[in-house]
Amino acid sequence: MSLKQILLNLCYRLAASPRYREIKKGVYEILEDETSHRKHLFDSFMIFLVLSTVMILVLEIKHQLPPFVYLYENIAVVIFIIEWLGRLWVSSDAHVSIIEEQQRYELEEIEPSLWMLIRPAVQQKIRFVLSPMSIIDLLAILPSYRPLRILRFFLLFRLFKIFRYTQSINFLMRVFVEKRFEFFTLLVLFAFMVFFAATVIFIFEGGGENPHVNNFFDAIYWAVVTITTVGFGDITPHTLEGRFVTIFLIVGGLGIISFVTSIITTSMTEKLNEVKAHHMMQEAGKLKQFLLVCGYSRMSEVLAETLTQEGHKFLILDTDESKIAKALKKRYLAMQADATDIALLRELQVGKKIKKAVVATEDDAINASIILSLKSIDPDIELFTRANERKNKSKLYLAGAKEVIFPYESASIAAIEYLGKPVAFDAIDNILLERHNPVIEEIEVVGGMKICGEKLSRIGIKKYHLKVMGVIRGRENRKFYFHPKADQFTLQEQDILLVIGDFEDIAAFKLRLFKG
Amino acid sequence: MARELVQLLKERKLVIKIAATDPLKVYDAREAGFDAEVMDLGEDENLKKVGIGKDVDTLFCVSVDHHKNLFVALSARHLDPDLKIIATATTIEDEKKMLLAGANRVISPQEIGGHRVYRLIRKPTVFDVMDSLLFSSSGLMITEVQIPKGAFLDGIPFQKSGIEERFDLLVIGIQQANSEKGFEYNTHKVYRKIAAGDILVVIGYQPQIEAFEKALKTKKEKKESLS
Repeated sequence: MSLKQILLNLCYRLAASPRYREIKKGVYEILEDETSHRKHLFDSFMIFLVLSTVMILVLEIKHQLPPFVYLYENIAVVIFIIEWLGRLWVSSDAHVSIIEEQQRYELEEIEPSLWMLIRPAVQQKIRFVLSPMSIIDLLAILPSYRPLRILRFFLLFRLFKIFRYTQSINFLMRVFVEKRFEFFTLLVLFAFMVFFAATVIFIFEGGGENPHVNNFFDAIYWAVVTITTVGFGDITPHTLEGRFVTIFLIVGGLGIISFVTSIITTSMTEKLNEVKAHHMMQEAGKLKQFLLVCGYSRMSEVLAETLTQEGHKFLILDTDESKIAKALKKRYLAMQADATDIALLRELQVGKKIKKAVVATEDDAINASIILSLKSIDPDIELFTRANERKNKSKLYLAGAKEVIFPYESASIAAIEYLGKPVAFDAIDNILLERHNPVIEEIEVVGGMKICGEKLSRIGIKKYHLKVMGVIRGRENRKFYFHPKADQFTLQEQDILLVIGDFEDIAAFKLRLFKG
Repeated sequence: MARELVQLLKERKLVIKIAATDPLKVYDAREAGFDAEVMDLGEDENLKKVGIGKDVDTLFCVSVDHHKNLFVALSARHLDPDLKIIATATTIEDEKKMLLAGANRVISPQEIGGHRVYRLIRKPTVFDVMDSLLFSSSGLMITEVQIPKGAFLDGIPFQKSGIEERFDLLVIGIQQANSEKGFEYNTHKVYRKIAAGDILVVIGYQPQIEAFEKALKTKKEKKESLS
């Protein structure tokens, strides 16, 4: 069997192995998956490792360190190397690429050489090795090689490595990339002024008038120190012309510096919101499944309170900064964002992590737009929305809402109910608001529960002081049995029990049901 | 919200009078066949004119302007201590202020909406059943029944009343007459006897409720002689 044959065999075996795929996925999760909790743990560990080894290298310059420290550093370097190899491994699927090449050549009826097969895979790997982050990783390993003291310089790269593990710093660094046009313009202006001032000072003072200006580099050095308003004072102008240039340089320098500062601050603040949003996105990413609440109105606030009490996870989106601030104050997950932004919704994994959403802004047109955006990503998403005007109710249904709530109507009905039966109204209101006991809860009878096929009187409702308000039978054709007779009614699978009782009793009862 | 409210009140065949400051809205209301007038109820004169303290037994303060609502509630309460005032509010703070101003009940559409969405998501079955119970006139209904003097339940311990089995009703709880205790839910913790004047809250189908009400009206002595 040729080498090529062995390689191809190996590739096919790897492609067919679920274990290999799983291990690789696990490594990828730890190293590269931003949303993974494990990656965060790993990142924290690596930051600690980098900082501790950098400290060792710094201390070592002046102090004699005990030998175990060097062992520690060696272990750290081994971890760095393994980490880099891991990244190299997960950066691309070499075996897939080789198989694809083989199949391509088979179609073209060409007998490929070994090199032809592995070329794309090797190219992918080389591309990874040459990527900036990989180079930083590699250079970060170097300073541990003691014989070459110059390599200590690469200590800096080990610090750069920290960027890899902290997303927020990365975000801020992007400011420089995004504002590159402004910075470039300013740089040109800066360079021109420095060159101009340096030339003038060199012409007037470079010929021996000033003992400190001996060459053109001295003039440049002086110009830079002056224009940045640092002004060490080691080189000062001695001639009148030189002083004129200095005045011009200082005033111009102030302008440039303030300009640069303002560009950086404004774009940093802009970015800061993005950093916050990104942070929220990560927080949401950690959740397995959550509810999306678009629009933080009083209605959403009430909803959020009840959901929090029950420990349900949700994310609030609103375009209004003050509303988001209010939600964040209550420690809810909230993000200032436009809920009609498809890219954002996709990033939040609508359809996968978000299967239900509440759309409750105060504008029906915006509500409709959000509904359509969500539906366009996942047609099966369940949407609960709020209508602010009666005439829009049907339109919101048309847009794809599962249920449309019209608060004014419900409130009017409530007001009238209260008018006729104040005691009954308050009684039910309290049950429904779940402010205190008793509460009403639905319990579904699922297969495997012992109560299947049992008479209602024998399932322990009495023991837990519960009242069965009714039973709903049938998935499709729902039939409601109100207050069924306990000694006659037999429970079936998929029945839904509506029980009233104290919260604690219901919880205990449910627990018993699931234990069997 | 007023628009929704008057439509529903109309179905109940009640006498409605609408006061608004916006002539356009008054015009709309008249078009819909209501007795509406342009007036500012902030003035005591106007409140008297519409009949507060005389014919009006319930006042709804449902203007969009919260300050106006507060002021109208306050003025009306001043004129008539027995008037039923029902008002709307959005925030919890507004709700508290409204109660201080003298409203009997404050209803927050937003809060109700929030709870409805919560139930829709978490307890859809409860939502369906409660909705049909509260918001539809067909079938199952919730009602409150006052125990007349000498009714068969008068003096019977609450736990042994047997209403649920006999009349096929669900008893939600009981409100004792002239008591500070407030509403007691039907749990094993209620130990007292039922007395005349107490209010029972029950859920059931209309015929059963009617049968129950009828039985209550029958005097105890008669009942005993019958059985």
